[in-house]
Amino acid sequence: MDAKQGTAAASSVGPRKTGAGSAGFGESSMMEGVEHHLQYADNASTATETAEAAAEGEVEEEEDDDEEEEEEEEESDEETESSRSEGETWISSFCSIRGHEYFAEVSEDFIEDDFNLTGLSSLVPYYGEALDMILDFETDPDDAARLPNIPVIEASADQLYGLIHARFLLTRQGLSIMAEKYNLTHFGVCPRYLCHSTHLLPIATSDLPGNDTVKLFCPNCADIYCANKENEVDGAYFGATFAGLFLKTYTDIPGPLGGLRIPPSTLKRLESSDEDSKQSSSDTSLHDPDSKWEIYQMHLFGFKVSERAKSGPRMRWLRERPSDLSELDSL
Amino acid sequence: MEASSSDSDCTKYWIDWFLGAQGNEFFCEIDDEFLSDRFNMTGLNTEVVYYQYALNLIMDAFEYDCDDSTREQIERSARHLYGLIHARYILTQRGLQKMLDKFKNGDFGVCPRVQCQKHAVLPIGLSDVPHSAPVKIFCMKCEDVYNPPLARFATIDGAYFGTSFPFLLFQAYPHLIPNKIAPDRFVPAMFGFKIHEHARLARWQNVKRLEMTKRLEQYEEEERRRKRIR
Ligand SMILES: [Zn+2]
Ligand SMILES: [Zn+2]
Repeated sequence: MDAKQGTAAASSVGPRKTGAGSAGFGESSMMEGVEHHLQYADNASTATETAEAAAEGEVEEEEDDDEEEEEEEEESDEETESSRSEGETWISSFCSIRGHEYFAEVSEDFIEDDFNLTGLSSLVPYYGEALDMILDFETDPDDAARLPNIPVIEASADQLYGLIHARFLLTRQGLSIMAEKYNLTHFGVCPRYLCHSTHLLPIATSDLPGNDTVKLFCPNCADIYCANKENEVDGAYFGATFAGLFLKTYTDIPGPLGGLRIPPSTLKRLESSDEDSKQSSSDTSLHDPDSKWEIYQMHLFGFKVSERAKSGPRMRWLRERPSDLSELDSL
Repeated sequence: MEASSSDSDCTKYWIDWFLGAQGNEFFCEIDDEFLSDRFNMTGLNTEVVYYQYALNLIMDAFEYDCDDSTREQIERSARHLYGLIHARYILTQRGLQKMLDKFKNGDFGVCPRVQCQKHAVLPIGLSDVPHSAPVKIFCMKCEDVYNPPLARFATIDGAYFGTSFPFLLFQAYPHLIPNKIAPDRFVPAMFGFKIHEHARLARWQNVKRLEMTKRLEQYEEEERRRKRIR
């Protein structure tokens, strides 16, 4: 089998000129968000470093024994909320916990806008206290007496942050933070050998909390893979829409049909609504002519395993691609 | 499998040490009978330096006074030789049986693909030529090849398992072939609507799948007719 390297892996993305358009939440604050992001970038970069350090630690740790793994886990638990260094916010410390590498830091502006939190108060117990904790507001000592112990509120804060996070990811600012994390491989690479380390995106199979853990989507093979055990948080904290919106926003990441040639006739049909752009992209320059779609072929002693054999291939359709986009139209 | 990483203990056998070493979890134990048959080693003496010493080391019959660097070279040769013999051994009936036990035991891990629902995988090489590519894992449920999840397997040569092993195993034990009545492929959605490009591809793939099903039915029909004629 010939192992062509690197054609599929999109190592870097930039935003599309037209922008995301139809994000559901926080549209009102999306425009301000862009400016705000400039100030925010300083915070974000430190968080990125922390997450990177955590990721490095993870690789080393993989090779250690199980016992050591447990020890480290205890250590990182201590680091959590109780003993965080001065100047660190609840949000930045939440995102630097081991296993939280996929999370972006939600801007406080987004959380402080009540519109963005619509409906969450009925989903999360001790909503008000949890929100105060996320925003680092001190709890009134009078209230503290009647409240349950801290871990209960901490659990609520984690859940509330997750649900806010899922909404934040659909804003321009959220997408742009996730694009940075995508470029830095914070979500890992596709385990499929023939995807040649295509970067992954977090995705949920359900938007409802408690249904399923977060999964990872590969833009190249368009399939979903299991996350590391320690990264298996609730999928609802990322949502089912984020990955799709991300790919619609950053269109320079090749999709499953990305390497295909578009015959000119098809191209016209695709763009018939947009008269002006007909000429500008009527060639195949969008598509890498060298990218060759590969499917794994089973071999026994040098011979292809025949479809007629009982142990022969039955799943090739799952990885197959049309050789030409016009094949899709003839259906 | 016995875990024995302390090589200070002289009574430990070399193979036990080798199988217990980290990263070697995919290997099975080659039995003495296979190791002592010269026919099974055909051609390996030119592939491995200090071939005879290395083989003696594997079989705990190493009695040779040498300096540390030579000893180290012989150690390396022994590990390489074990891998090359292993590739041949797992294609024999006994070798297949041993790997089958490890497969049933989940020693090779599970498929990372969500829709394969943690189906057990097998080690596979991308080439039968040594030093070509590290070992990969193969899932018979989706029929695809994946990188093993742990970094330590990146240093294990795929040629020690070979390109044929999983397919010989499934040919020898067809009852282990998983049910392929898989659900349709995953299609990402945005605000509840399937993404157009992916939905189109899924529809096209479903057509391909139906075409295959028809071909399989045709093969069966041909087979029946051939039997009737006989
Ligand atoms: Zn992939
Ligand atoms: Zn699989």
